[in-house]
Amino acid sequence: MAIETLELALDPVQAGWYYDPDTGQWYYYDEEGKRYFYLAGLFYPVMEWETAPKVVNVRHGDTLRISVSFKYSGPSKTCKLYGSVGQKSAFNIFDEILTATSPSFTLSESTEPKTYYRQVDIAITTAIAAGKYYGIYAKLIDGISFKERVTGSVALEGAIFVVSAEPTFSDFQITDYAKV
Amino acid sequence: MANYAQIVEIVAPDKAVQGSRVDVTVKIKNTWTGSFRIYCVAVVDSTRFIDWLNEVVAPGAIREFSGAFIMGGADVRILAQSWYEGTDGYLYRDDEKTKSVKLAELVAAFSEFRINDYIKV
Repeated sequence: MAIETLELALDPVQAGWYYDPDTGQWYYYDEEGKRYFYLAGLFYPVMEWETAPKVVNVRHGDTLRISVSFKYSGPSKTCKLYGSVGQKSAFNIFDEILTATSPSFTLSESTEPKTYYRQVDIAITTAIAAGKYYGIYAKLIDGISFKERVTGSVALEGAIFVVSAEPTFSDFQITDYAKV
Repeated sequence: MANYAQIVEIVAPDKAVQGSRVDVTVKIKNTWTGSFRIYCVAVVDSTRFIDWLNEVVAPGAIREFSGAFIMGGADVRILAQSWYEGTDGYLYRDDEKTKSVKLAELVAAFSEFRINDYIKV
């Protein structure tokens, strides 16, 4: 196994192991520049995270709809949109908790990049806890390798907040007292 | 060797993907001393896509004759010809030129994937 020191000029990247002095970790980069963290015999894709532009409050039993857009040129291709709700875990890995897949759709043959708009619905279940924030991401699947901003999104941190179904009181305080 | 006109250039892409429109322009120069009517024909796979277009061209001037065809599933060769009208009223072939257009492979390319919105439904 060849071990190399991380160089920041990763485009184009040579597949191999690289040391990141910022995190003190070794990462594996594939031919497309995708970064993986190795743990217990498995490679975990390291996600790029961004703060979500908004927070959507959801309850158990709700459905979250993620709408995406992307461009495609090439031969006709059939694929699906995959969406997930999860948490950021160690080394920026997206820990998927809820997932959903859209029905198949076909991208038409085109020599010029054509913009597509697709959606995937994710059922919010008790697998995610009330009172917590979760992240989301989406990607194309069915023979399409994942790459942020190309075939999939970055992870949006804190995109949804799970509101408790139980009545919740908070911020009780005496605002004034007076002789009447 | 051409007698009265010369095909200066066939303007066409070197590669095209199957099913795409291939635009072709044939540039023909009048190399004779007087004006005369130049006829242009261009053929690919036995299909005439520039079909006897003609124009009177001044001496030394270059005229463009354009047409298009749909790229098939293999490499093709464009054959362009210039013709002139003889004093007997018949058309005679003058110059001839060819250009190859190779079949380009259509490669899948994704870009600009992003989440535009997410809502509770």
